[in-house]
Amino acid sequence: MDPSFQPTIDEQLLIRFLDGEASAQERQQIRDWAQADCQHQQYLEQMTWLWHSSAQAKDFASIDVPRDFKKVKARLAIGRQEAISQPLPSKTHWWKPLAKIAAAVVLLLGIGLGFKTPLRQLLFHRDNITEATTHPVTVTLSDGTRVHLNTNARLTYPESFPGHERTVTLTGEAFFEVAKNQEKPFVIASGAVLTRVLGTSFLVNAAREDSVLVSVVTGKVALFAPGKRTGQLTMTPGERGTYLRGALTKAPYRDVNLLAWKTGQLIFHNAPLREVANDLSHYFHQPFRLQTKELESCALSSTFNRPSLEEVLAELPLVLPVQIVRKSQVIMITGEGCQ
Amino acid sequence: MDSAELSLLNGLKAGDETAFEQLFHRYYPALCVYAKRLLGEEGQAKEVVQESFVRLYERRQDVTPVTSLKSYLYRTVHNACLNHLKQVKLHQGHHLLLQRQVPSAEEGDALELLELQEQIWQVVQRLPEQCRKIFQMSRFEQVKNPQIAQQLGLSVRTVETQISKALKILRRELADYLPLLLMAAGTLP
Repeated sequence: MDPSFQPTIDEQLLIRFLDGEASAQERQQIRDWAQADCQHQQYLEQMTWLWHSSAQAKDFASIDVPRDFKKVKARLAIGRQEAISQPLPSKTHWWKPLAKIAAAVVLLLGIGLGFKTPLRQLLFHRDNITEATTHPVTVTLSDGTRVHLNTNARLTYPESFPGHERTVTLTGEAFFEVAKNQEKPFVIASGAVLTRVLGTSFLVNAAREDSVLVSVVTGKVALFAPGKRTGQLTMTPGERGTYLRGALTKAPYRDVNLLAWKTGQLIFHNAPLREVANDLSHYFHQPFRLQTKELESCALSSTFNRPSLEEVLAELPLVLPVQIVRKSQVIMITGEGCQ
Repeated sequence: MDSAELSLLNGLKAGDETAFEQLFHRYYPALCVYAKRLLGEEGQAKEVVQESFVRLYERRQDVTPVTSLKSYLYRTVHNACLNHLKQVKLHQGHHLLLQRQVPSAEEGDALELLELQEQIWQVVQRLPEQCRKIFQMSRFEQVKNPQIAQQLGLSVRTVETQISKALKILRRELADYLPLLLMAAGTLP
């Protein structure tokens, strides 16, 4: 790698490219330039990396080293012999509850990947692909739309939306918060179905090839299957549209835990155990089953916040007359029932 | 352990205050950012790191780093953060259990990238005034180029030129680290 290498590219163009302001033609120009020569490509990699990493360097802005050293020194009382020979009592208040627990941990893990993905996308694909392989992931699209992908979901989307529609492709389950734009409808292609909206939030479950579920939280959503004579289905908040084997139907839904995978909250208020098992299966991506029909007479009232599987399995026998039997992947709930 | 670190450690053991200060300057910022990303909160993060330095000084005679003083410090801060999260967890009771995937202190790549971010920060601070201002608006505050131009009463072209200049200086100043970094970040297709 030659640090003295100077590129033959229009620098302003490169900055526009990094800033996401370049036109499709300009982006192509950059891609062509990078692919022409491996030194070009390296240069672009370095500039892209610096561009992304410098945003993360912001965290160092609020650290005042000399001031904080004075604090540490005062606590140590360096120079006072007795203070050094006797450890000072700790002044940190470990018990003080944290006001805010952010998910910044993921950021650190993401640094290594943060570089690879965007550049790959910028250079080699017309469409970006985000896949939530092990845990839910949130994607913000160029129009400000936020897509929360559940585990195993996969979203394909363009870098920007220059056309008259904003179209993305989904497999699996995702919650959409679509940025309002009356001029450009937002369209989700999943299996045979298109979901079309202007600005709203709703859940799409396209986990299976032959069926799609769309649950609306806010706004109005239209569902249709192009090429099939199903017509169009319009849904409002609280309604769920279902496409199953060529037919479109809608019905109200009342699942409290619909978005548990996104919020981490599972709420059961006198909920029948059958429902509890369904919600837990969905949340943990592992089947929960009731061994006998008698168990359907049980109801659970409890709240979980980002629970682990082990916690839930430990809690159920404490509050209900049930036992848990684990058979490979399946979690079997057994017992006499609650009559 | 590099020789500079070794002499700092020896100085520390001898009760040399400047050695302690140098260690602090060398590792404090990145440790704070590390802790902040674990805890999600800056004030508490600084507190944890300062406490770790206090303990380092108090126990300096017993400090025998296995690999390096640096990894010793990261491990100390890492464990202190975990302890802190555990305490919070107990405090909030049975239902509010935290599920936290915490990277281990051994994650060398993540630490190297963190140090590189610190280097970037330092280089940015040394940029010429206007160049620094524009670059910080673009990268730290995520303002788009046309908006920067508008706010500062400059042409978009000037903004782009200044950002390009900053990136080139960064590339030059960090030239030694870039090959390493590309290896850490993974190879491209």
